[in-house]
Amino acid sequence: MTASAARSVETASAPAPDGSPLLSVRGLRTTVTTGGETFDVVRDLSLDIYPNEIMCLVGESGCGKSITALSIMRLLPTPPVRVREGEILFKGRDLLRLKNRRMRRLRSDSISMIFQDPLTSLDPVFTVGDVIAEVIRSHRKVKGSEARRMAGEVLTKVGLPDPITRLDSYPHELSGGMRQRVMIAMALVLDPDILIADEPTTALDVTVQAQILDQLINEQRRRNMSMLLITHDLAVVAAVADRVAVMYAGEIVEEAPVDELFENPRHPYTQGLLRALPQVSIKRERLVPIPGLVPPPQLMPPGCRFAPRCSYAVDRCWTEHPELADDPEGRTFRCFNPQPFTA
Amino acid sequence: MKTLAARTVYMVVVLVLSSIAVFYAIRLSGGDATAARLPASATYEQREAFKDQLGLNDPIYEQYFNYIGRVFSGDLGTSLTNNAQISDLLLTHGRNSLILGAAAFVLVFAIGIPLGMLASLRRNSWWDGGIMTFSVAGMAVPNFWLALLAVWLFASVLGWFPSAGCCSPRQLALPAVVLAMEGIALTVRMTRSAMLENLNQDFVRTLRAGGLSESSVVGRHVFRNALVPIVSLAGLRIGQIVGYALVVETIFGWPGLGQVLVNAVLRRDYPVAQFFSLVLVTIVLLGNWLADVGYTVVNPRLRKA
Amino acid sequence: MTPETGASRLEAWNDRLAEYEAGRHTGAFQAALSRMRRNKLLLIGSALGILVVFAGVLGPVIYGVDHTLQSFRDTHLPPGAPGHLLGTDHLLGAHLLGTDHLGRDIAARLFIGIRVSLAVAAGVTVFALVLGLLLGMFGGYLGGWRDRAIRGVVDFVWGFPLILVAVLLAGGLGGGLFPVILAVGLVNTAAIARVVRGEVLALSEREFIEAAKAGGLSTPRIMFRHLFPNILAPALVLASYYVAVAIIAEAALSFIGLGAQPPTPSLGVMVSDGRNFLRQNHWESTIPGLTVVLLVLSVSLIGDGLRDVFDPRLRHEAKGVESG
Repeated sequence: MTASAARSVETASAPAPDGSPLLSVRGLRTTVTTGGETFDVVRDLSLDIYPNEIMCLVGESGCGKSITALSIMRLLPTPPVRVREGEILFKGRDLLRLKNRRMRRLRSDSISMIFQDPLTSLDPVFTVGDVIAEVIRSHRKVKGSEARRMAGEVLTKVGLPDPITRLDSYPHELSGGMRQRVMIAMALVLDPDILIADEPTTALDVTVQAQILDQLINEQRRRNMSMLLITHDLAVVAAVADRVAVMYAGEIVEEAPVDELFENPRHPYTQGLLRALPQVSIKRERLVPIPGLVPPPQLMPPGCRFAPRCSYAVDRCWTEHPELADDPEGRTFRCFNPQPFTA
Repeated sequence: MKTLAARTVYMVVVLVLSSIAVFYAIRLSGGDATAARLPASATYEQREAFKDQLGLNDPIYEQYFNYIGRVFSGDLGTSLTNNAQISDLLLTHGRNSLILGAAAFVLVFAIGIPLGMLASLRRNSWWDGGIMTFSVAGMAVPNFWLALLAVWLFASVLGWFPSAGCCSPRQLALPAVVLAMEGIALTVRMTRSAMLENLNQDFVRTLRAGGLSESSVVGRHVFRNALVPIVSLAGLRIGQIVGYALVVETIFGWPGLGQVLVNAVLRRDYPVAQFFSLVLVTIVLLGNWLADVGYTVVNPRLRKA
Repeated sequence: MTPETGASRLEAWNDRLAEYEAGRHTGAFQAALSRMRRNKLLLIGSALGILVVFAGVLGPVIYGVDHTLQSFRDTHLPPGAPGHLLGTDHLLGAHLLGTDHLGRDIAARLFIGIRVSLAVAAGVTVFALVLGLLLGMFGGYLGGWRDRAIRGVVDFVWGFPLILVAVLLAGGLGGGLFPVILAVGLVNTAAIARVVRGEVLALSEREFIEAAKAGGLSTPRIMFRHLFPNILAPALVLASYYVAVAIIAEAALSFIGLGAQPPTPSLGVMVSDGRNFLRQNHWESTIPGLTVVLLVLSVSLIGDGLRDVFDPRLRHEAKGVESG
């Protein structure tokens, strides 16, 4: 990831969020049911997103990041995946208790989401303009011509070249980057309060990744919007995040403002992720991969879920499950035996 | 996928090749053709004279070009068995076949698509099970036997519909349904699987995230995507209906093109067999061509930007 | 109990993980086996199929009534009626399924009809499978002008409805089973070749074929040692569909008078013979018709079952199968 998307140095020190969160996930537990058995894929997950901030959710693939996002949007493929416990408060209302119709109205009007693969995520038999106009008209009482005008406008804003002609294009006529811009336009056309971006740049060429990320950050600033950015790419996190939550095996294992996380990671998993990262500022001789694999949801270690891969694991880690807690310095992580970070 | 022009050229080439193939195939039996007209006691000389008169002793390629020339000038000749003008047969029987074929074609989609959608939206319910059982049965039961059962039940036992004849709506009902049955069964299957396949696509999630109503996501977007393979194969259903019409028209005594061709083949009435073979082959090829065109029309991915 | 060390805990954990992974794999294999056993389609289809094959192969021997004998005193007898033609030493001493309009024993004719149907279907399918596999494999693997030529011919044949092809061939070759076999054989060959070609194209891009090519193996060796085993299973599953197609086509063509010629009994001919007596003696027509349905059903069920067990992807191709 290039530095072009990095925020300016002054704002990089994350403000301690004050005021009340815009979106607050409390004790979320999401399960998947296969072959008659039910397993947790997200467990005891709490997350606050404050106005105007970019919150990054980081972790290896399969750790439950996307499931968390889809739980918030109430777009889980149910069955087999469903939310069992918790609440998701948005402006004080619990999204999980909303009627389907009310939830539908909220989507893309208040909370939007964009997805990883822009190739398969757009309806192939409708034009770009038609779909954006349909999103507008399913929330606002406007004429078709007005919706089309708005669609053209938002495509212009997200930097799609030749936006008016592109209204009549089908997704297959656009490049990957252009498709992702279309998806961003679709998500932003109604000016939502929160944008959830699930690996928005992963499927794109490296050069395009930076452009799309830049565009997203610009839109976030311009619209005073909050953003939940889901990624496995720590370079992206370093470049754009205000705060970061690290997920491992369905749980948040550490949460911190971005600078603190990169300067002094507390959880062994976060430390491992940073050691495995080739481009962090800390000078290092070689990359150190984390040994072992993420445990399958069917077979979770009884104690700390990271214990089998952790070189600092002590007896307690094998028998007792650590809770996410604040230490005296105000750092939040889930570990019995934290060690100082050495590169 | 080739362009429309290329598909059209391809169809014309295939049509020409088929006409040659059909011509040769029917002429293979040319020796027997005399049996249709001459008494069994006819001598070899009499038979040869008759063949000369019909041009059957000319080189076969010459016969082909002569024949095609006559067809294009509108001189279709007469039947060997009853001297009927082939052009008259074409008009009356063509009309009857059009009625039957169109009715069956409409039924295939008017019944198949809604049933398939219902099965996909009520997946694993009794609806789904019932509809899919019907679909399996529709494919397994040969239509000539289905025709007999229909005649037996609805004509003989219940007396609701006549067992044969042409061309009132009541007479049309049984043959049209029988002719459409396998197409319906296939369309149900295709609609169901296409709907289910598209319901699992990523774009459905995007549309839901966009706050579209479920009726729009499923009824408009998923349905339009599911229609692509169905419409694209609609032209093939035409060919299928032509094939089955040969059997169904014969059973129901529906005086259409299929019945004429089957009777002509059975009676070795080669001018009639020849011409109506070409007619049916042409219709089938037009159907295949329509399938290609239809696929391009409903699938924007194949349209030129 | 001594307290476990971190290392031994990790070892124990890794053992559990390995056990779990192993369990998942044998689990998958066992699941496939039990899927096969539990696959009701396959089970019912096989049972039906065995029953019908048994009737066709051994029926005439056990039943022991000459299917060609006519008796004008014994026409349209109901099932179970005693007849003049049956010797006193006969197994039943009665016409199992009655007699037809010429006084012929329907059961005896039915058994032979099944035999004809099975023979035609088997012959046609072997023919179509061998030729279809060859054409599809050569076209798909060799590519270039040879592929285009093969594809041209195959698409040309495939584009026509089977019954029309059969009627055209009957028009040229006269009645009898030969044009039927030829027509069904050609159309099914084309259908199988299309699918095989697609499979070969997909396989050609897989690593093991690439590796074989890079390793300098000869073309025939790659085709028959490496491609063929991978294509056989889907081709066999597909062929089971075309057995059904062949059965229906033979019956339908015989029904309209273009297939089996007298005195060969065919299920289609029997249905046709009985149609004039539907009102009085419906069994003369319904029983052979039902037999065709059972034959087709058993073959389709076996095909569906095999497909579920072996290759769910074929579901897609089978949608385009045309029968009859």
